[in-house]
Amino acid sequence: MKLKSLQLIIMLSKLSLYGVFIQCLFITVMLASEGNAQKSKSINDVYLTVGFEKSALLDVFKTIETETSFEFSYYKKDLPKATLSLDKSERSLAETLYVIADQAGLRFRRVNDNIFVDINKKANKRTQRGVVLVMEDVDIFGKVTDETNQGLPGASVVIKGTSIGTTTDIEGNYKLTVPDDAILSISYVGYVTQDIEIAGRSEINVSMSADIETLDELVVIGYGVQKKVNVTGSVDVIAGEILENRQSPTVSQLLQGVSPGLTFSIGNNGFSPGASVDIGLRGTGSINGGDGPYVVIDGIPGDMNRLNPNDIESISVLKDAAASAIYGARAPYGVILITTKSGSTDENITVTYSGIVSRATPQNLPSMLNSYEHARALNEAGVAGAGGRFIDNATIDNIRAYQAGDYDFIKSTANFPADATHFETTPRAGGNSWGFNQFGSSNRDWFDEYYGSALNKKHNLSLQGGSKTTSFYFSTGFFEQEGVLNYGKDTFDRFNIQGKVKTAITDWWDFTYQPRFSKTKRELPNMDRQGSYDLIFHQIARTMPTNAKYDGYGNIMIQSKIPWVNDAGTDIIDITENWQTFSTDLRPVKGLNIHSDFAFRVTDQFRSNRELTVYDHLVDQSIVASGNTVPSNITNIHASNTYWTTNNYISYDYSLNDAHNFKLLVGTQFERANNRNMSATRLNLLVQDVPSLLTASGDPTISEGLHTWATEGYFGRFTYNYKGKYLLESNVRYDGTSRFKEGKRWGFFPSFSLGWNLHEENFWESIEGVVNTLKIRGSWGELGNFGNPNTLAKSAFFPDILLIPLSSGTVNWIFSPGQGRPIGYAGTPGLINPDVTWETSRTINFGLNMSFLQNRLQADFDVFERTTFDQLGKVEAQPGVIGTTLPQANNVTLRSKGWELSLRWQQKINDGLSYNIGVNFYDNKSTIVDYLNPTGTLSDHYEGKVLGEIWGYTANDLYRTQQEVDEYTSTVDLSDLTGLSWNTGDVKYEDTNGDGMVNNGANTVTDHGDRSVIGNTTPRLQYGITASLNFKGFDFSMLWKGVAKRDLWFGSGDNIFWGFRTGNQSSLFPHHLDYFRDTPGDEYTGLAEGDANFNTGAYFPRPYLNNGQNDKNRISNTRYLQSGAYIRLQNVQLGYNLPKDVLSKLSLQRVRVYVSGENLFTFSGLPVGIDPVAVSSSWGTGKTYGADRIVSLGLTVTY
Amino acid sequence: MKNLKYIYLTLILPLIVSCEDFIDIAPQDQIAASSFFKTATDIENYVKKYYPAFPTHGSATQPYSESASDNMILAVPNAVLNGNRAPRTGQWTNEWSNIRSINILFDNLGNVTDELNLYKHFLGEAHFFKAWFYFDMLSTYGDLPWYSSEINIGDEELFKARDPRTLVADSILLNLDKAIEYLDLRSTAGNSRLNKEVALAFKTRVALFEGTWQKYHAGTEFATSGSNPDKYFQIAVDASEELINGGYTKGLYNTGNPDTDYYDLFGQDNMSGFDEVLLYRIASTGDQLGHELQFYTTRRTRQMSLTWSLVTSYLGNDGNPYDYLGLASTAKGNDFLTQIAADCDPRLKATVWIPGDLRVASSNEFFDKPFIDQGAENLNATGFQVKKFSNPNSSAAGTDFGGNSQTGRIIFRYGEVLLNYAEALYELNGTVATTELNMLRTRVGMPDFSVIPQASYGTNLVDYGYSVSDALYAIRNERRVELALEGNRVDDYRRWAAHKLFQGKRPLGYPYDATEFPDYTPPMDANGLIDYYQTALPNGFGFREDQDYLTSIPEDEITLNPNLDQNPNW
Repeated sequence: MKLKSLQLIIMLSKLSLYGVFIQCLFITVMLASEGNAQKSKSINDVYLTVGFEKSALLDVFKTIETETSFEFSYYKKDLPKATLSLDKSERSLAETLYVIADQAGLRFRRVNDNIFVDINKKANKRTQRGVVLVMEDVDIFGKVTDETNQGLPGASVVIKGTSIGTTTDIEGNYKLTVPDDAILSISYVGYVTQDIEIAGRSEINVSMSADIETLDELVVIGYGVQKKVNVTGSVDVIAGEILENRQSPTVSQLLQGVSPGLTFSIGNNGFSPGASVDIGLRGTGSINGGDGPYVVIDGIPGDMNRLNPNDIESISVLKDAAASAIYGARAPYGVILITTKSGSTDENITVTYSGIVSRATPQNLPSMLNSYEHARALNEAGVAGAGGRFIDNATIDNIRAYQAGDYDFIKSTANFPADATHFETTPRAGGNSWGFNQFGSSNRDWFDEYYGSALNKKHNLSLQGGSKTTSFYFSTGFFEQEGVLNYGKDTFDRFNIQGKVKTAITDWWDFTYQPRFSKTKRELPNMDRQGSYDLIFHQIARTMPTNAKYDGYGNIMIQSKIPWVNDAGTDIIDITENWQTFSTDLRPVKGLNIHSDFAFRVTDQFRSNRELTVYDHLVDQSIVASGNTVPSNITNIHASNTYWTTNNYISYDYSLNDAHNFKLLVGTQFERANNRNMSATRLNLLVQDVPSLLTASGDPTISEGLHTWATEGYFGRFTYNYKGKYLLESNVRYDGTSRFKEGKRWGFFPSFSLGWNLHEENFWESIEGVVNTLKIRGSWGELGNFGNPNTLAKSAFFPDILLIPLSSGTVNWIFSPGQGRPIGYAGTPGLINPDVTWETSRTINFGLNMSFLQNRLQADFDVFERTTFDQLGKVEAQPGVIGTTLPQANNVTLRSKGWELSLRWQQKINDGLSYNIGVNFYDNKSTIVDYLNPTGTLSDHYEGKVLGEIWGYTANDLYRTQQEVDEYTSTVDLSDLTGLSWNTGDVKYEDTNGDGMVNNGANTVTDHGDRSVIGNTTPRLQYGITASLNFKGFDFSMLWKGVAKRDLWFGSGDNIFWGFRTGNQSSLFPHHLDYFRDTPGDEYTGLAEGDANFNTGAYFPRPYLNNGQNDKNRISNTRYLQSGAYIRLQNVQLGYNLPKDVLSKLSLQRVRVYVSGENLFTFSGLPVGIDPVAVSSSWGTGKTYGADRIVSLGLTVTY
Repeated sequence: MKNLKYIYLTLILPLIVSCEDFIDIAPQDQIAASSFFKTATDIENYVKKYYPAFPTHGSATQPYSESASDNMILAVPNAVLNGNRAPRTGQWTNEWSNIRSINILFDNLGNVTDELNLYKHFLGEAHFFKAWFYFDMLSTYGDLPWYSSEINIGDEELFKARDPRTLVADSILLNLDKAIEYLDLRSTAGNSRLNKEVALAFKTRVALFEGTWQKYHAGTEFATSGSNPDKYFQIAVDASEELINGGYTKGLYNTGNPDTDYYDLFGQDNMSGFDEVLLYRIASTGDQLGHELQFYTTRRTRQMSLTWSLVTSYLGNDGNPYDYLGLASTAKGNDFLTQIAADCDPRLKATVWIPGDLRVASSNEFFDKPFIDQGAENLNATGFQVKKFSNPNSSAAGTDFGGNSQTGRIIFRYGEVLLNYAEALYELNGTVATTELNMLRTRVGMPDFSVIPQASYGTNLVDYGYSVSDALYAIRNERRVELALEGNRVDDYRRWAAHKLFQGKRPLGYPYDATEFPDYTPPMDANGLIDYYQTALPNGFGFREDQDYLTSIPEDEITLNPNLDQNPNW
C-alpha cells in the first residue's frame, strides 16, 4: 500500500512537471511581455495618424490600439463619459495622449506595452493643468536569495499594487521592465515580504529573511489581540503546525505535550476510535468537576474535538484569571482559544491538499499463558484457598492431548460426536453443550486472536486567497479511523467543512461570515448491553486460553465472545453540527472598534442502539439463542440541540504622545441553549438485518427530554501601558445564569494585572546583548463557575422546585402474564436547596518572560495559586431516617498551587540547517481547604487533604515461612484486616504504630491506625519536549510527553495487575507466574512437579481463587504501590520538501512527503497491558483501548 | 470627543436590552410535587415503582438466602451464623428512602381531586408497601423510630429516639388493616398485583413473627418491654381464619399427583392460575426480566449445599421419623440419596437432586451425582444439591448464564398461611390445627399429621435450646419441610431464638462414597458424613446469642442522633 501510493505520487509528479513547466513559461511571457519589438521605443518615438469627432473614450482607445502595439488597461467604470475630438494628423503617441488627458482629465502611465489609465484627480483644480504623466520604463534585473545566499527560485517579484511582475528562475534571477518610480514587492512563502524602491538602480539583489516569530507577534486573547510583549496575563501560544499532519483523531489528543499546564485524562473507553481526551488546566479546580478550560473557537464557544485539526491556525491557552477574566463565569479554569485559518487580502489563491494513510497497531499487548500452564497455575491457586482445583484432571488431560495433537484421546471422551472435526473442546459431562473456559481443551492466546491492525485515512483540501477587499478560506476534510480489534465494527468517521469569508464593505466596516459543518459517525459493538463497551476488553482478558474458538463442528463458540462482539449489534452515533457565525466590525473613527457577532449552532445527534440475537451451537448441532441476546431490540435516540450566542463589544484605543496607551473595551454576551431529545425503544426485531423501529414488533417505549438554559454577561476591560514599559490591565465581568434562582444568579468577577518590560528601560542597554527581553508580570482575579451546563443534571437548574421525576422507563415488574412491563412511573422528589449559587475561583499568578542571545532562547515561567471557594459540598450530615440524599451547599474550598516553565531554543546554522528545541515542565497540586467533615473520616474529603492521595498500610515483605506467620500473628493482632487465617506467601502488614494491632484505627485524620499516605495518583512534574530540525529540504520533528511522578494503586479487582481473581475472572500473563508457592507441584497443579515448584522469593503473594482470600493481600499497601510515571513519544515526523527549482517547474508552492509515527514508544514502569494514560476502565485497570502505535505516510501539496 | 457620545450610547444599550427574564427558565418536562397527586393515575404511577422491591429469584435471594440458616451452606461459613458479622458503618439513608417516599404520598393526599373509589386500590398498595418496608427493618433492627410523614432538615423528629417495637409492629399492622380495607380482591387484581388476600397473608406473617419474637426472646437482651405475645397470636389467628374461611381465592396446588404436585408448583413460569399462589413475581425473558434460577438449579450450584439437618427433618413416608444415620452407615453416596428418596416424605425428593432425576428434558440430561468435587460456581459441598424450584421442562433448563429463566417467584402462598395459622393457634391456646396441616400432608400423599414424641426422632432431633412441646416440635418441623428454601427459615430461627439449632455445631453433608469420587476426599466426621467446615469451624458456628439476633444500627447514625440506642452488645 505504502509503496503503491509513493509510486503514484512520483508518476503524477513527472506528468505534471512537463505540463506545468510549459504553463509556467507561458505565464511569465504574459506578465513580462519580453521580446516585444516595440519594447525599446519610447512613446515619443511612436507616431500615428488618427482623428476623432466626438468619439467615446473606448473607441479612441481601440483605434490607438489598432494603430500601435500598445494596449490600454483601465477599469471601465473609472472612465469618464466624456467625448473627444481631435483633428486627424500625425502625432507622436505621447502627444496624442497629452491631448486626450487634457480633454478627459485622465492620467496615463506606460509600463512595457501597456498604458494604464486612471483619473487625474488633480485635473479638476483650476490652478493646475491636467497633467499626463508618462513614466520612463527601466529594465532591472537581480537575484533573490535566502539568508544563506542560495538563490530562491519561484519567488514573486511584482510592482507593488499591481499584478505586473515575474517570478525568479531556478538560480533566483529575474528580469523586469518597470516604470522608474515603481516599488518592487518581493515575496516568498515562509519569508518576510520586502518592498524595495528602485531608486535609479538597474540591478537589485534581494536577500530574504525567514519569517520567524518576532516580538511584535500578536497574541489572540479574549475579545481581541494584543502584542505579546504587552500581555500581562499568563498566555501560552500553540502554533497550528504542531497539530497539522498528525494522525490522532481529535484536537484534544493532539494537545498532549505541547503546552505547559495542560493535564489530560482519558475516559473508561481509552483511546477508542475518535476518542477525545478530557483536558484540564492547572489540575483540579473543583471537586465537582466541570473544571475544564473553556474552549472558544473564533470567538464562539465550541467543541474542539469536532474541528478538523488542519483548520487550526493557532491556539492560545489563557491560564490565569487575568487572561481569562473577560470570559467571566464560563472560564474559571482557563480558556483555550482556537483561531482557525483565514485567507488574507491581496493573496494569490492557493490550493492545498494533504493526505495521510496510517496503520495502527496495539502497543503494550500482553500475552496469555499456554493453556496447560494456565490450568496448573489456576489449580494451584484454587487448592490454596477454598474450592480446590479449578480445572479438573480430565480437562487437563484433554489440554495435554490437544497440545500433543492426540485427537484420538479427545475423541474418546464421553459423548464426543464421531463426526466432529475440531478438538478444542469436548461435550460437557452429561450435557448437550460444549465445554468452555475451564472446561475447554484449547490453547489460544485471545489477545492475538482479537487484536490486529487498523487502516486509517485522512484527506484535506483547502483553498484560500483574497482580493483587495475580500479574503476567504475554505476547507474540507475527511477522516476515517477504525479500531485495532479483529472483531466487531468499531469505527469513527469525521467529515468537516469550514469556510470563512471576510469582506470590507468600506474601509471602516468589515463583515465576516463563517460557516462550519462537521459530521461524525461512531459505530461500536455494544455486546448486547451486557455491560459497557469496555466489557469487550474485560471479556478478552478473562477468556481463558483453554476456551475453544470453534466447537467440535467448527462453529464459533459463543464463549469465545466473538459472536457477541461481532454480531450482537452495534451502537451508531451520528452527530451533525452546523455552525453559522456572522460578525461585523466597525471602525468609524481611529482607535474605535465596534464588534458584533452572532453564532447559531444546531447539533443533531442520532443514536441507534441495536441489540441483536446471536446463537450458540449445541453438541447435537441444534442452535440456541444466547441468553443475553434475547429479545433483540432497538432504541433510537434523537437529540436536537440548538444554541446561539452573541457577543457585542466596543473597544477604543487611544494613545497620548505615543507614551500613554489606553484601551477600553466594554461588551455583553448572551447565550441560550435549547436541548430536545426523544427516544423510542422496541423489542423483537422482525428482521435482524434491517433494524429499525418499524421492523420491530414490541410495544414502543417513548421518552422525551426538554431543557433550556441561558446566561448573560457584561464585561469591560481597561488596558494601559506607558511606552510599552509599564503595563496594566483590569477586567470586570457581571454574569447571570438560569442555573440559579432569583437573588442568587448574578455574580461579579473582577481581575487586575500588572507588567513591567524591563528591557525597555535605559539601564537595560548594558546587557541587551545577552538578555534581550525581560518582562515581569503579576495578576489577581476572580472568576465564577456554575458547572458545565452541558453535563449538569437537568434538575440542577431548578434548585427551588421540588420536582417529581417523571420517567417513561419501564417498571421491572409485570402485572399480568403476557402483558409486558408497565411503562412510565413517577419517582420520588429529592430535597432541594434554593440557595445554591456561584462557586468562585481566585487566581494569583506571577510570571516572567525572557529572551536571550538574539531571541534564540526564550523562557517563560509562571507560578500560581488558585483558590476555588463556595464549591458545592456536603452539608452537615443528617440522621439517615431523612431517607434521601441531602442537597449540597456552597461550602467547599480547594486550593491548587503550581508552576509552569517553558524553554525554547531556536537556531539557524548557516548551511541551510536550522533546529529548535522546546521543553516545558509543569506541576500542580490541589488541597482541600474547607470541607465539612467534622469527624475527619478518611472515607470522605477532609480539610488538608491533598487530592489524589493514597492511604495504605506499610508492607515490605511476604511471610516466607510458616514460622514467620506464627511468630508475627501471635504478637500482632491482624483481625481487623480479615477474619481469615494467614498463610505463607500472604502479605505481612506492619504494625507501624506499635500498638500490637494492624488496623485503620477510627479511619479518621487523627486516628488512622497503621495506615498512612503512601502515594498520590495526581500526575506530578509533567513535561513535554519538542524538537525539530530542518536540513535543506528535509525536516524532522518529534514530540514527547511525560509524567515524572505518579503513584497508582491497583485494587483487588484489577486482575490485569494481579493476575489471579476468582477462577473465572483471572487473567494470567507470564509475569504473574512470579507468585508465592511453597508446596510441591504435580502434573495438574503448580508450575513444576515436586519441589521444583517452590518460589518462596516471589514478588506476588500467594494466589487464591476466592475474593475474600485474595483481598486480604490486596489492601492498599506500600509493597504493591506502582509508579505511573511514563514518557511517550507522541509523534515523530520525517518529511521531505521538494526543492524549489522542481516546484517552480511544477508551478507548485510546496510539496512535502513525510512519514509520521504516533505513540511509537512508551516507557513506563507499569506491567504490560496497562497504558499509563488510559489507566481506568469500568471493568478494572487496563481493560480498555491503550494508545495505538500509528505509522503514517503523508503528502501535502500546495498549488 | 463627539464620538464619546456614541461610545456611551452603545455602552448603555445592552443594559436596556438585558432583563432577568432571559435567564428565568421553568422546567419543561418535569412537574412540581405541589401540582402532582391529583388523580388516581398520579397515585398509581407513584406507587407502582415500589413493586420491583419485592424479592426476586436470581442472585441473592431465594433459594440462596437460606444459606444464612441451618438449611444450607456455601463454600465459606455464613458470617451471621458464625458470629463474625462486622458492625455496620456508614448511614442507613437508603433503607429509609422508600418510607420517606410513601410518606410524601400520604402528606399530599390533600391534593387529590378524584373520588376515593377510583384510587383506593393504589392507596391500599401504598399502605401495604409501607408495612412491607417497615417490617423488613423491624426484623433487622428491632425498635425503630416510626414516621408517618416526610421529615426535613431542621425537623426535631429527625432526632427522635427509637420507638418500642410494639409500637412499630402495631403501626405496621394498622397499615395492613388499611391495605386489607382498600385493596381489590385477588379475583380483580390478579395474583401479580397486591390484593386483599396477600395483605391478609402478610398480616399473619407479621403477627406471628412479632408474637413469637416477644415470647421467645423474653428474658434475654432482646426482650420486649410491654410484651404481649398472645395479642399478636390472636391477630395472626384472626387474619388466618378470615382468609381460610372467607370468600377469597385461595387453596393448594393439587392436581392429584402427590408425587409431583409439590415439586411442580415451584418451577412454573405462569402461576396466575394457581389458587395457592397469592402473589408472585412474573419473569419474562421477552421483557428482559429473566433470571438465573434454572441455571443455578439445573446446571450449576452457586455453591448452594443443603445440610444434613434439613434433610433429616423429613419424616419417613410412613409419617414417622426416619433413621438417616443408620442408613448412612450402610448406604453411601448415590445409594444413600436413592434410598431416602424412596423411603421419605416426597417433599424431600422435590427439594434435593437424586441420581437419575431428569435435569434437562430438552437434552435428556439426568442428574448423575452431586458436584462435591467441583469448585467455584459448581461446588456442592454436602452432596445434597438444590432441586426445589428447578424445572427440567423449563426453556431455561440446562442453559448458560444470561437471564434465561422465566420461573415465577412466589412471594406469598397459601401453604405458608396454613402453617402460620397452625403455629399461631397452637401458641395461642394449644390447639393443633390438624385440618389445615393435613391439607399440606394430603397433597404430597403423606399420612395425616400427628404429634410424635420427640424421643422417637432419635438422632434427627434438633435442639431449639429450650424445651418445646411435642406438638410444637411437630408443627415447626412441618413448617421447615413444607417451606424449605423459601426464605422463611432465617426469620424462623430468629423469632424462635433458636440459635442452638446451629450454634457450636457444624453443618454436615451426606455419607460420601469414595468410589464415586476417586480424585476427591472431603473432610468427614466419625459417621462418614461430609464435614465441609471441619477446618473452617473447629468449634462450630460461633453465633453470639446476646448480639447477633439484631443488626447493629450504623455507627454514624448513633453519632448523628445521640437519642438512638445501639442494639445489644454492638
